[in-house]
Amino acid sequence: MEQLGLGIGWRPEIADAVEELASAEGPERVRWVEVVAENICPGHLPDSLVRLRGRGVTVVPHGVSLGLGGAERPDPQRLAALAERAEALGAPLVTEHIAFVRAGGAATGSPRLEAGHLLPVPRSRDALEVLVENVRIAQDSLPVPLALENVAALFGWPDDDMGEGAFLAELAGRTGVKLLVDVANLHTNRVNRGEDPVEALDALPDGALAYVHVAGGAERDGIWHDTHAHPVPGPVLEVLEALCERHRPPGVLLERDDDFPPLPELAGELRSVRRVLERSGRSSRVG
Amino acid sequence: MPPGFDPARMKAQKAALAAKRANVVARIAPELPRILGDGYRPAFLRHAHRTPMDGGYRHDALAFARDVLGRAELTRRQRGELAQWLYERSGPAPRRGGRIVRLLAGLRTVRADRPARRG
Repeated sequence: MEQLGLGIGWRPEIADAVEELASAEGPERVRWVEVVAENICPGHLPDSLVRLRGRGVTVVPHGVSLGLGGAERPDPQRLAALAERAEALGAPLVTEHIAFVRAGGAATGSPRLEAGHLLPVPRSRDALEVLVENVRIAQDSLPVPLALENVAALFGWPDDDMGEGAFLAELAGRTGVKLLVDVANLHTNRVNRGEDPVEALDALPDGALAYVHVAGGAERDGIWHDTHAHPVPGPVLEVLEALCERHRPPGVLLERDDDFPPLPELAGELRSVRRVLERSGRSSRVG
Repeated sequence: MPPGFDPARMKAQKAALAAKRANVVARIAPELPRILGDGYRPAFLRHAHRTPMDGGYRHDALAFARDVLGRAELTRRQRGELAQWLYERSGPAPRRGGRIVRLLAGLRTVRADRPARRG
């Protein structure tokens, strides 16, 4: 896979700032962006994304509604929509999550429920089998490689019997799916589930890493909320540093989804991320 | 709740999902918090705990508006604005459409105005 470098999540609210960051001269310069796949229409791409594409900025569609970790097979229409967006954007890959987002429905005899959120799958053999099948179906339907992201969780399942690293490694090994490692989500699971991010990082197979997410959150009553509405805190950057000591991420992307700060603050966050990458001595790999 | 889950964490997850619904609906339908003011959030959270989502967030915004119109204490003005908001988004297609929708609506009116043929 080509090198992505430093990137930022494109959102309509910060479209102007993102375009400025894409043409910045300093270390805050971004070379690629992610866009939430469900929020764009392939025939009517936002002008800002079209301009970025015209300037050679890579745009990666990031899906949030497939629910590959659910018990049902992935919806062919949702897969077709994701494929269509990948093609409209000329994306080198598409990304989604290791999560379930809905349950119930006709096949279950219970009402259909939509979480509207990425919820954790049980880290069990049974859940892994279902996930592997669903990932293979998704891969067959997509025109470009798929990478999947570890999610932030507020709770665990009673039948969890694998660590996050072992779960991710086996998923990647059996399907060839790439991994999008969100270091803020690893930090979230450290606070909320007592899981050591370093164990997960140690278990990641070489070459499986597609790119890395970095984001902010906040602690309330002993629970870490992965808000994407706060600055990236030190402990998250430390997990990024630990990752860079073990792996060479082809790209690192800053996510912000709410309480959008002004451009200088976003630029400052990007510079902090780049400093970590340079400190870890892998700067030549991240453009 | 099935056995084995941590009740405190499930409670936190439930609250987080409801709060996210309130935030997302406020973003995609900013008229709703504008019409309801300070009453938006408590009314939305009551709706969220009563009514699980069965579709997307736009669907949830409509469900909330219907819910609050039927249950909440509203001023006359709020009730009117909310009912109008809902009316404009109900039915098979947006009522205030673009040029083609208005053109088609116009054509239908013209046809209806034609005198009925005899025979």
